[in-house]
Amino acid sequence: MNADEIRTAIRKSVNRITGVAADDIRDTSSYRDDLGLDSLSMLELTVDIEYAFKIKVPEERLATIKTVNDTIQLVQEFLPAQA
Amino acid sequence: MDPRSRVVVTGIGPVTSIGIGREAFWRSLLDGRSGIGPVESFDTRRYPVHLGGEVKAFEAPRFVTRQSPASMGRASQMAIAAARLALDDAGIDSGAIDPSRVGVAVGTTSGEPEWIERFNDRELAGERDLIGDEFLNRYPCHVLAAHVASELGFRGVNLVIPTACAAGNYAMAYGLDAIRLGEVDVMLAGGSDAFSRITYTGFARLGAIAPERVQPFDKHRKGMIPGEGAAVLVLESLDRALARGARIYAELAGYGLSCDASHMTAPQGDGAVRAMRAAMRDAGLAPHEISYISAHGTGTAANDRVETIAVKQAFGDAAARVPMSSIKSMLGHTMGAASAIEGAACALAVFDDRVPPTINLEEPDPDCDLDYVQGTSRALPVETAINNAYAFGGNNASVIFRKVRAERPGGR
Amino acid sequence: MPSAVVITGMGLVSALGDRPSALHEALLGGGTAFGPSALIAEQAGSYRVAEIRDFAPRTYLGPRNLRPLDRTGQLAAAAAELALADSGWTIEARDARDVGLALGTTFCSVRTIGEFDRRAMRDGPEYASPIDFSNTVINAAAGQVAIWHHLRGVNSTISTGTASGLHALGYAAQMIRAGRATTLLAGGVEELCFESFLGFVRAGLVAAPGEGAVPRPFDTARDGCLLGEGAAFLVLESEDTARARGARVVGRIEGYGSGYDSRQATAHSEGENALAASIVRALGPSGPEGLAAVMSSASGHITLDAREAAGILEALGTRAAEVPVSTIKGHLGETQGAGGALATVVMLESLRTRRLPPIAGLEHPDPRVGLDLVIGRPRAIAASRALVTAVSREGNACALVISAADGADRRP
Repeated sequence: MNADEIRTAIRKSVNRITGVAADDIRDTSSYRDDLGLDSLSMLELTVDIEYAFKIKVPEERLATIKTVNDTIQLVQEFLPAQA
Repeated sequence: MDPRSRVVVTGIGPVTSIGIGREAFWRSLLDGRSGIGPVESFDTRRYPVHLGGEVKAFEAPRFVTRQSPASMGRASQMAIAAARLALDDAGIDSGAIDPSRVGVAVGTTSGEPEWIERFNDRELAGERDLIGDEFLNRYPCHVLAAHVASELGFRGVNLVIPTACAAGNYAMAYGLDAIRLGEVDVMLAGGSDAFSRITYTGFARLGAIAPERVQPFDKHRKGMIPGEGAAVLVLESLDRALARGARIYAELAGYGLSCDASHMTAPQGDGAVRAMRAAMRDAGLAPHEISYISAHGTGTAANDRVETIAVKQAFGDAAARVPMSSIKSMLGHTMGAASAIEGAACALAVFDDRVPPTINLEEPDPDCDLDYVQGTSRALPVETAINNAYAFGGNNASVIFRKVRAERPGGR
Repeated sequence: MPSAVVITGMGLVSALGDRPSALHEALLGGGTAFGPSALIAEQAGSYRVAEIRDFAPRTYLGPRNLRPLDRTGQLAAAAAELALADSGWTIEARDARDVGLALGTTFCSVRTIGEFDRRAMRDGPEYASPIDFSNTVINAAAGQVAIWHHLRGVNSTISTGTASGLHALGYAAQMIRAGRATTLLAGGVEELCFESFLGFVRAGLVAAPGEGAVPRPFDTARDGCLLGEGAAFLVLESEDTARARGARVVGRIEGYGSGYDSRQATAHSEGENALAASIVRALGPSGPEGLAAVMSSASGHITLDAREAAGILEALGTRAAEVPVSTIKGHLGETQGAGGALATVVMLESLRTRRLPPIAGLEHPDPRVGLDLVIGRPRAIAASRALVTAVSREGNACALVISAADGADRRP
């Protein structure tokens, strides 16, 4: 799984939740400050990503996520090793 | 019509996990009993949490006698039970009262969720053809009040106010106005919610359900626990109650409603302040004249912190001196029934001069620094009580109960 | 002294247009909205429905993120936008003074509730949608409208089945009369969706499917309703508030009454018709004198149409022969919670233009109805007061008396 696939999944989800165009969602975008996600929306994004990649990220790690890049790294960390 | 006529509570019918009927309920509340246990109404193996506040001792056929208990959902059954208990408690014979002058107002969060759940089970199993008329006959929430009135023959105004977890307070508030406006002479007002996997799923996904117990205002609180139950209060005018020599628990002295208009699920505080202030203004009371606060007190990190701040803002200096407890520590969160059950507790506190405790509160959160009646119930003069309820949708509702001193019929 | 309640704005979205005057014109011409479903094409099959085709929420709600609102929320928010704009309550004014909301609905979004639960059961509760969960409460649309439009006052949801929308108007009028609020947006909403559609079909309430199928209110050949959807709001204000802000008054709420018949009641149970009592109460001391028209909630339901007619007949007595009766459900279908609010808007337009729409689908009036039904073409009516009625199959009954303001003709 490369970062592009994860990025695409995040953009799709954020677009669905906020209406922000996928092209306007950058790796450095802050969910809260740039994309306007509140805590409920952040949880919605988490569900989307966990569902898309069939992973489970512990709550305490989720709390540290601020930007798109944080999510990409976290997903990569929790994905099972590539076959 | 008398817009300022006084309306009182003369009957209390609780159906809860810690007691069915006024006496059992009140004794359990004062004893600090917990009604939390393993969820039995559905399989929780796929959930990270497994506890709930189900009413395990409830036997519908004891109360639903003029309709088939099997023809309706559990929230309707519990609402009927609560209504019958309240009428008995009030000494009102439903056959000996003008049925067109008795109204029913029921609050709820989910109505009869079990019937959309069964619908979904059929749909997911590829059995759409087996879905029959039971869904429409039993699911839509307005059947709650309809079932109560059909059971008891009451023909006055009849409605369900589904304003989520503030719904019981909305129903009581409506009852106050309906009596003052002369729409009915007696109002059965309350709330009912059955244990629901939809509700459980949602709160579990929000990470809001505590794994072991509800610890309102505790530093280590881990959330709420969904529950179920019902409560109905008999409301009537003071003059009517005095004329028939009824036992009067308390006066419904006023209320305040507001909306945060800010976020569906996150409490903001300002709306809660406006509701409390409006209720006190309506009842003609100053903050220092409030004897007891029945907190919304769900046990979630956000609610308990925001509610504490809101109470401080609405009460000012008086906040530190007013005991405030959360009976959700014992019952869990009974959703639309919660504020009706808590209203019952407020009326009893005013009548009995005792207030129920917040149990499971061991180490108060530094952000929660009020008097939460930690651990054990307390005897004190309870002249007035304010009942706070907050809900999804940003709804806030506060209702005030006041002691009624013995006086002669018609006297003021 | 109770406040007089005036109407200062109207807004709606319907399958026959989104302007009161356009909807009224369409109804006068006997236009109907029935056709194959696009929303639930697979499930509806050959059943026809009256849905709002190509509903474009951004037309009303602008570029803000719509994702938090489901279809029910969007329909309600769109109608609210139009009503607020019509009344001149700007967002600045709403921020400065609390405006409340009373929303009638049967199901709110049972589609969201159903989908939320089905996803959780299919994929696991950990994949339930948090945003959808916030919309599973029955007051979700009211909460969303309050957030969208900055409505910080009373926020009530009223459920009395197909009487919900009219009941919400009565509730709001009482709030204002009781001095609880000065301004409320009141009305109803219902979306067309699979869950409610299947419920209605399986309960045997929907007219036979097929090309050309229409509902036939009050007709001997009536065999059920067709389902519709929509949302409508009226802005209700105390007369003093409206006058102080220089608002244009388009009508007033003259009276309101509601009651309940047991679920077991039949069409002609003597002296047991709650609608009759509700109408008498709504008409007040002057009775049916000067009543220009009745807008009923008849939908083509076999027993309910007869029961509603019996209630109107009983209340109006000998005057019934002089008062024309219509319904909008032959054109728009059964719009459930929205119906009473849509009917009230249409009745106001009818008073303003002095033309009452005919009952679409009615060819051979049921001789037992005994009312002056409007068949075929519009009827000229006087510009005085009119009655709007609504009943539910569960026994709810509601009556509202309205009048159009003098010189309310707003056309240039």
